[in-house]
Amino acid sequence: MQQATGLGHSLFEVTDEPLSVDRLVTSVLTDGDGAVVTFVGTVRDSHWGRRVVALEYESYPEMAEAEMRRIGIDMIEKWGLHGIAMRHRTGRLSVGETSVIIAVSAPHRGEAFAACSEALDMLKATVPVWKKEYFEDGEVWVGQGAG
Amino acid sequence: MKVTVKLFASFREAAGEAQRQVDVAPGTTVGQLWASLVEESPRLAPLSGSAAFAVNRLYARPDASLSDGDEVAFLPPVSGG
Repeated sequence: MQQATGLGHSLFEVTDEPLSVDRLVTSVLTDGDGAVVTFVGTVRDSHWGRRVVALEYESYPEMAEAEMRRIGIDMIEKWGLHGIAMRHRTGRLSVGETSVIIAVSAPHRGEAFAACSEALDMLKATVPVWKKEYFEDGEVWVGQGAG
Repeated sequence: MKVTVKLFASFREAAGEAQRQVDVAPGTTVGQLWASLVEESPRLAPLSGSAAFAVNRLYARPDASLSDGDEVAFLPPVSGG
């Protein structure tokens, strides 16, 4: 999805469909890029020593996409990127499934690595998405305490 | 004034609903609206100190005044990624 001038090849989306790294790489890549760096967030099988059975992600989709776009614009301006894509999945996910992908394109790898890492930190701090962990013997919203 | 209130995650579960229309007096702030919701839903009370506020999909401070037609969201600590 091509955004207005200044956003380059960028995409910010919350979806309940499975995520694909290839599709996001294709969406950000331009002829001027020497590097595309991707982050793939996956569901781990344990947290604080408890075995995780599944995760469920919930979002405020309109605000989440707006926040991701704000982060993307920040990163493009700061690191001189050609494109950035952030896609977060919602719904119930099993261990090993992908919850989020960030793809960043730039002329050189230094900026791409730095921007991808910073974009992830910002996403985790401000984007309105919530994760609920399901264990064998209970469930809890991460960050909220025992449920 | 009428505003749309949206609740998410643990707040949604505690309040028992995801969205509703609310009548508020002119000059009501986001923080005041939250306080009245917490009073109505006692199960929100233990969670209420951790809320972030958003008005029309932008983060807002508790002292932000509401306008007719606003979409107000009460957000627990985020945990995406």
